[in-house]
Amino acid sequence: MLSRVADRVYWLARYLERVENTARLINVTTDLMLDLPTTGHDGWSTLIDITGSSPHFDRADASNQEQAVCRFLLSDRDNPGSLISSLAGARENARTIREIMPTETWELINAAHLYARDNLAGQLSRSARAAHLRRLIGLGQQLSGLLENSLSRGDAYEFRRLGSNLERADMTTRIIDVRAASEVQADSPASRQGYWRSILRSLSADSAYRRRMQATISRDSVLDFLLHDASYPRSLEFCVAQMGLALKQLPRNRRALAYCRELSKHFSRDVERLARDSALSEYLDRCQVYLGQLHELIALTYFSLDGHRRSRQQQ
Amino acid sequence: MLENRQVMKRVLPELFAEYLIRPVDDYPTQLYETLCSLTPEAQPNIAVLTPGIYNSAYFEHAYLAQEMGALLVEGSDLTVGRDRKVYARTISGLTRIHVIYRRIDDLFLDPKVFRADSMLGVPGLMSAWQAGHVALANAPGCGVADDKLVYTYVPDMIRYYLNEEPILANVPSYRCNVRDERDYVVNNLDKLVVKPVSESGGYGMLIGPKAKVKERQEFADKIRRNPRNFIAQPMLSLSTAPAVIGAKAEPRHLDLRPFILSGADTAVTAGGLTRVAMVKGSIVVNSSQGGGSKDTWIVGGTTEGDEA
Repeated sequence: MLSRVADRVYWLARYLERVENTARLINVTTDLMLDLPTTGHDGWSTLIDITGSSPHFDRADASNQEQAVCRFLLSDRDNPGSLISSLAGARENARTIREIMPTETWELINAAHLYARDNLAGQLSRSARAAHLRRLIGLGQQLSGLLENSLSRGDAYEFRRLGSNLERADMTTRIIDVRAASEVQADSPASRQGYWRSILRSLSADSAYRRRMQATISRDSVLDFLLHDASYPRSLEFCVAQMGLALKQLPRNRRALAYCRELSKHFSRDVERLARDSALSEYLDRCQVYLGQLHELIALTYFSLDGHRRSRQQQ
Repeated sequence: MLENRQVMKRVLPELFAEYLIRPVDDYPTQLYETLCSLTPEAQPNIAVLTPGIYNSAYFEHAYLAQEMGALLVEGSDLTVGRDRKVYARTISGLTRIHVIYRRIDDLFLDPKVFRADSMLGVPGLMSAWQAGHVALANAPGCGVADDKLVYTYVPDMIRYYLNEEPILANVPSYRCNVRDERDYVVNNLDKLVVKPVSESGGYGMLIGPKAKVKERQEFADKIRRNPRNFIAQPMLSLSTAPAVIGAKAEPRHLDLRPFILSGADTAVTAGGLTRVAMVKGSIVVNSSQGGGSKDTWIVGGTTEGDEA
């Protein structure tokens, strides 16, 4: 497979995953805010930190924090991390690889892009916003299903798997990181539990968690589940394992595979050792750095136009 | 061509059962074999070089690449090594490319040799070609055959190279760079169609019988100033075929584009692209100007015999 094509499949998958995560995150935050006292928490601005887009956000502008944050994360084209920018990115990548994707892929992405463009701009009521985002999450899942069921197992499938799992792992660490930091500021045990439940729900993990952990929601058990559960598709452990499986199918995978194994080792640390919040935050920061480095390694090995030099391998 | 045939088969399957219509869908296979014949390599890696998704023929490039099992590449996917060989950048590393079926114009092929601002080409490609490390189809320079003056020499080429008489006659053509013929053209502009040799798509032409006196005088000056740039032919009446216009059939002008692949062997596709001028009376068949197309049949004689 051409490097250029692999690059585009990978980014298509990352953008699609990002769209779904952003939509989810906003819907869950909307619910959470309704349950919390109106003062004494960071509220909407934590979303800016979760998505890592603070350099682009003008906080001074935020007289109505909720509207400003949502506009910024959903329909602001100047924010490269906004939902509309991610969809545009997905569309741009999909456009150039139409011939290797199932036929309906392009139509679905186009439909999602048009839907977001026409419905997310301007002031939205909470209920309208939630409905539009649910629709977009649905379109995203339709796309995932299409690719899962109709994309031949081969290089394109593996690069898609790499892209979506890397993005997903990254988002999981971000959500835990920022929400956990907010939790410290919550004054009552009830609102603290609310924070952890919202973490689970932003990852669609609440029912899976209950079945698996059969426990009330607590910091340690939620962390344990989201970091280490080997069967839940959005846990770090699971995402990294998927990337390892994808890499095993690809050529010249020695370095990236070794790095994946390192990552697994790092993730498998005991939750007890993360009892202190500063330790947790430090740990998650390092996870993000490692994920970033794994991305660099994948890009260097497979996409970078100058990374090849004289490797001279025949197909 | 291939799509027209698929539609016809779907709409009128009975006709295909009744007549012996030669299939056209072996074109990609023939193209593949032709491309393979351009390299001594037993298992050559073949690439289709496309200008990219914004080109109007991109769909065709992608289709042919897929049917041939070839890589569909853009200029930036290829690189020429210090060994003057061409490689594709793939996830397995650099992969040698032996044959390039290029669908970009000469001038954009190699920014080191031709247009320096070309983003579509591959720097060093001409050097690799010169060294014999890669085959290009069509070879650079083939475009010279598009010069309409060359057309006037085709019968002579057949006599010289094949020692045969042409089976199909040329349209009578006058070379304006030959004094006697030029004089005839200038004196008979009202009967002739004059074409610039390097244009296509019907641009820059004079249709003598339909032109005004003043236009003809201006054209006579143009011809005298730059005779090498023009040829002239008598006005042709293109054939017509019935076309469905609204609810009824009407005659429309058409022409035929055959597809000929020339490598170790020469293969003529048993069909072609018939282009139709959809506007009544018009002879402009170009698809960019609203022309249509028709499925074209070569009917293969009787069931027995004629196996070729």
